Amino acid sequence: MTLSDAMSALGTAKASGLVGEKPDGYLGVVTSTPQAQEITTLINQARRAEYQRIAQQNGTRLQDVEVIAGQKAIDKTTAGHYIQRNGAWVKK
Amino acid sequence: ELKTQLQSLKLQPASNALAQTLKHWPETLELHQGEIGLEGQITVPAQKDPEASVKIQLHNLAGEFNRSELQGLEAHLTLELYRQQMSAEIHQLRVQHLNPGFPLGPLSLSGRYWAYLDQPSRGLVSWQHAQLEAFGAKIWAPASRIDLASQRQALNLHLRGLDIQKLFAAYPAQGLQGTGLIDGNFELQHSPKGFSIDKGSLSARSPGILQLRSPQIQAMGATNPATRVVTQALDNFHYQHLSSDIHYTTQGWLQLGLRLQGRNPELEQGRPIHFSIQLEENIPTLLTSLQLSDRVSERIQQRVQQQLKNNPTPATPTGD
Amino acid sequence: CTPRVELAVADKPININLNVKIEHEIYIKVDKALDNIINEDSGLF
Repeated sequence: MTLSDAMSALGTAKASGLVGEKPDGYLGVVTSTPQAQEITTLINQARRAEYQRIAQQNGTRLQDVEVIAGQKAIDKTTAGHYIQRNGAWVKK
Repeated sequence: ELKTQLQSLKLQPASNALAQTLKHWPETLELHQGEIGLEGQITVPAQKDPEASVKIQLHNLAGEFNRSELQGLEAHLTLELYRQQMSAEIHQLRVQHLNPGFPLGPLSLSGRYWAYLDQPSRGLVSWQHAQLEAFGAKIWAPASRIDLASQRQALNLHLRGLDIQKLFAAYPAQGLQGTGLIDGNFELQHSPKGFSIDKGSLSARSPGILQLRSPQIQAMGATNPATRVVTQALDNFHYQHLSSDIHYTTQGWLQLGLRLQGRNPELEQGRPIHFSIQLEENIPTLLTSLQLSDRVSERIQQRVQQQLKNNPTPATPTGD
Repeated sequence: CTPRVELAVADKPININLNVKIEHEIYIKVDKALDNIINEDSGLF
């Protein structure tokens, strides 16, 4: 699977409850299938690269970027998709 | 002898007409709406100093001053020039809204400014009324006077009824909720090094609730068990006592020595918790980050970005 | 922030001393930069 495969599969993976958004800004596996694992690993690698770029550009710490990204991603998650709250997966 | 009569001048929107006319117009003041009425006369007697007495009426002016938007500026003042001196009697000045990154206003003033013409900025300020509203609070300086020519100036300020919820709403961090009204008194000092506060205190009028659930606070709790009790306590903290001393340095650091006593009903059966928190925050940086956000107009954002390009460190209080 | 926490063991109140220095980086730019990637067409969210 390439990153672009993972990107195109992301929408359906979220809709079918395979993966969800975590407060730390990264994707998490909700129901563990090989496909969900691969999508999560590839997407998170790409996200980390983006967060690092933004942190460098603004002289802020990576984890600050991650915390803000997590909160935004959870805010923007469509109803019915999974988000992680206090360590547990819940449907928004 | 030259006598000229002045009449009213209507400002067309988006034209800073007035700035071109007056010589030492503050370069960061732009007015693009409203009406200015001028009435009076200027006499230039031969071999003697010019004399003038001008009544000025400002009506519903709007624009930007420095890094703040201002709307609804109304004023009625009398300017006088005689024997190399100038005086401005401010019968009444009111600004309905100010926005330096958070909502302020109304501001109301009445008082007088007097100075020698050759040192216009080192004059004597006296006022009968000076009040500003912010976050539901009234902040005022009792009638007094300040000599701008002296090395140091001090201004006694009182604060009544600051609403914690309104303060949190304006603060650029999500997840802060709270109730309670704060009263306080402090002395604002000014010297060539800038503004500072050495003597100041504040306290909550009565018990209230703090719910601090911002991602930064949660991140602090998640990483280190010792601080977990802090984030759990502050998640829903019912306080009986909240007070603090106030210090502000000329470098812009606000330092609060906070005493916060109360409990979280769900934590250890509501066992009492006494916090003593030394809180430090850089106000100019806070203001700059607010002024870069969409809490202010495009015009102010561009102004701040421009100033940041010219001098990357955010403006210290004496800056701009 | 760099919290330094001393938990004084007392039967009644828990006393907590905290030093909190709020480093206000200009994170509004971070906010805007994240808005540009946290949307459908970035493919990552």
